[in-house]
Amino acid sequence: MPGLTGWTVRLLAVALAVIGLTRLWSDPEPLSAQPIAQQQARIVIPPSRTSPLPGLRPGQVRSMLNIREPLTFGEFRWDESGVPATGRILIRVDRKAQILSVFRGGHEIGTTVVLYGAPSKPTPSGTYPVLGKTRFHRSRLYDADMPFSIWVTTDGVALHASRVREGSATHGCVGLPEDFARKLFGLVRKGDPVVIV
Amino acid sequence: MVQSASDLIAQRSPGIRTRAIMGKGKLKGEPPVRFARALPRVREAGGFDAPPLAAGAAQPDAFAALPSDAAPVITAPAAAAIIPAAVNPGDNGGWFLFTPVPGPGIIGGGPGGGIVIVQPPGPEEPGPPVVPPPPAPAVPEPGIWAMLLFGFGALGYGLRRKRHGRLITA
Repeated sequence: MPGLTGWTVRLLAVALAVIGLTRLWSDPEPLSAQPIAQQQARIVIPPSRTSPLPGLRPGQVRSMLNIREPLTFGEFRWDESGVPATGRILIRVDRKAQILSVFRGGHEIGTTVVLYGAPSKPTPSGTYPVLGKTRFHRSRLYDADMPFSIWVTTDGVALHASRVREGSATHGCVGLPEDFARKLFGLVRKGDPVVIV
Repeated sequence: MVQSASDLIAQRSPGIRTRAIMGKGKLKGEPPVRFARALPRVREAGGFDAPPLAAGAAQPDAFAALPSDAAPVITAPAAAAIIPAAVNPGDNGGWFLFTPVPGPGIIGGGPGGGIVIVQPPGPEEPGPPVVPPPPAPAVPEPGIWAMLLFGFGALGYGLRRKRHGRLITA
């Protein structure tokens, strides 16, 4: 086809022009040139005689992650840098704020947005020792998977991986993003305290 | 600047939960999901898209209604239309012979029964004229080529912009 060759050349020229324009329009400034605000990774909580957080005793929190913007559902932060590798693990679940914090030796190393129990099936408040862990559990009662379950009460309340979405609730458990639940599962030992407020 | 721990929790919080539904568990008040059946029920066999039948040349369960002395023979074109929907003849294209056995309680019903011989169309009968579809052009038109190339360009441009935007916020 004689006409096809001419059209092909023309269209290739158009394509090259499009590619060139995209290169021209795109911002050539590399990432390293972007000024990144170096902000403090964690905030030191000064010792005080008052409770640092509801549900915790004085001195149980020594530093916290410096997060100044609201986390979204399914998002989490995990930062162990500068924190001693050993220390007592403490988990605090704030139902009102929908936030879970993990402390090691008083230093917060992880936090995430959680789901908690619906009004008809509330998550109980209180301080509970971790009773045990189950990597893959399936709830027969609710016909639901509960991966990385950290058992808190004898009647089946656990911290476990869940699909954390806005507008969702659980049957009393605390739902965590899966990657966060995996990390927490590897960290927590039997007997570590879980504070639910 | 000293921040209290409660302030830090409040700053990262997505807020107080205002509405929530349980995401798992057995739902109440909703009808169970009905799946389409892979094969229709026997009762629904009459609902096939079979062409309207001639009077007397009936479906398999209608043989009992045939008069015993009529013994109608379905002609070949009618059989070609009826049999695939009603009886599943297979693909061999052979002969089909239904002989209702006389006797009580058997599909033949009447004394003597009837013989229905169904013959698929033979090779000597002309089929419907085959109209070949118009041949598709071997090469798309130049406008299509231009649209394709423009689309690729737009895709590349979009991806580039998206990747770059993600880097800025990282």
